Amino acid sequence: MSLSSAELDAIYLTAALATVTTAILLLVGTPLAWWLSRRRGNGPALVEALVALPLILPPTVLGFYLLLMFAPDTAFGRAWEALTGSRLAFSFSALVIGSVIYSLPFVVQPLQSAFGRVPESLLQTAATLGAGPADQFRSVVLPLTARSFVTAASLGFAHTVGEFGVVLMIGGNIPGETQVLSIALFDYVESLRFAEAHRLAAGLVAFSLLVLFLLYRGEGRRALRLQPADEQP
Amino acid sequence: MNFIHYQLHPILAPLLLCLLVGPAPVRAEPPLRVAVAANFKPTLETLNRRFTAQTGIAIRLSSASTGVLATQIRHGAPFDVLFAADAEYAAGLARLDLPGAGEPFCYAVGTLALAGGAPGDLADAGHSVAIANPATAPYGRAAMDVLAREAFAAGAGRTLVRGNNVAQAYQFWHSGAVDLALVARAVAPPEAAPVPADWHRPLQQHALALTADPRAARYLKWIRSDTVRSLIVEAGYQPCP
Repeated sequence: MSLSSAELDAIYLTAALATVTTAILLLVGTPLAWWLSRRRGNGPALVEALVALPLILPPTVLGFYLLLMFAPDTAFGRAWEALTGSRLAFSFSALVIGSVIYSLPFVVQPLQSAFGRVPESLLQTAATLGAGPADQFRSVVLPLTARSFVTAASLGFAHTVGEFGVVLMIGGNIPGETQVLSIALFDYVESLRFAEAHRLAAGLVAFSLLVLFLLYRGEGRRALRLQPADEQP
Repeated sequence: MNFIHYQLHPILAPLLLCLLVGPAPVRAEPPLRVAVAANFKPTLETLNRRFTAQTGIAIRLSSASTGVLATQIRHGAPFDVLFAADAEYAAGLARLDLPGAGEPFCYAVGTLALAGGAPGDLADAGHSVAIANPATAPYGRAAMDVLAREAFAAGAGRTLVRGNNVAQAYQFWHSGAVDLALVARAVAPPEAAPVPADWHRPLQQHALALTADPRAARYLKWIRSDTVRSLIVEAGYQPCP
């Protein structure tokens, strides 16, 4: 079976979007998850709620606000154009920003849950042995939570691949620039090109199933439960 | 990516490509970006293949309802050319004074066709009808004009299914979920019943350049040539006045 160049473009674009988004999410999500796992109170609870919002909000809400924010005549749109020299609206960068927000809970929550399971006593022991915060994180926390990073990255990646509503609103269905797999599939169905639609849909089912299967097999069900540590057995 | 013939499994391809972290493939010249109303997409795809073969200029098509495309353009979507499904949206964008935007001109006059039955079926409330969304699609508004005719008043209680554009409305009918579809003649099957043009507002379809890209001007000049005009008529449109 040979894929058309339009399909390959969509696959490449989706893979690039998910990779860039996951990389940014790990960089931003790790300190955020750590902070959330060690703090209690109204401030962290509000931040936690904000992180979880994309789980329950219709993607169209996020899409609508981002569409308004990215327009070239807004302060944000103008600042972006001045800094980067290119327009943000309906660009790959716009999709990355949207995806980072949309997939944030899928990376932060598994990490936060894993960090919460790291006993405070271990960190105190490390501190008495002279380890600073950075060393504690590197030598104690990372080895204990390494698997959760795999979970977080896989979920963030897979969820970005599965994104549709936000991309539909802020992407503009431009082949090679913003037409990711889910949008290309939508376009094929609308154009009655069912052979291509079947190929992309079956490919996405297989990919998603494979990711989830590998995750469940690797970690058991615990790691995927998006709950704080105290509910764990 | 046209230069290699890939033979990749749909599961393996995404996984392999995940390994490629880096900038998108660099092209010598970016393709001309054309936004097209859904009704004209199948026709324009055929026309574009000719244009690219003649000139070497590659074209990337994005399709949606005219209203959706106009909203995207107002929010900064990077299109060089728009093919709208009516005159108003194109005129609205021309009034925006986008740098490099050209004058809108008529490239086709659209007509409706009824797929799945005869016009008389519209008088029966038992038949569900798929149309394009009148809020964003000129063809949806034209379809509403037809449905509002005195002769079809008995069908007023019918189930009306709204697609995002004529292509989706037609797909709804094609799936068998809807009895009738009132869509552009160019996307309907040949056996669909033609709808008289005086039953609805005119669908004078206008196109315009949105940027000063010289390829856009060349492309639109080609679209206005006699050869292309006759090809557009063959595809199911009426000639412009």
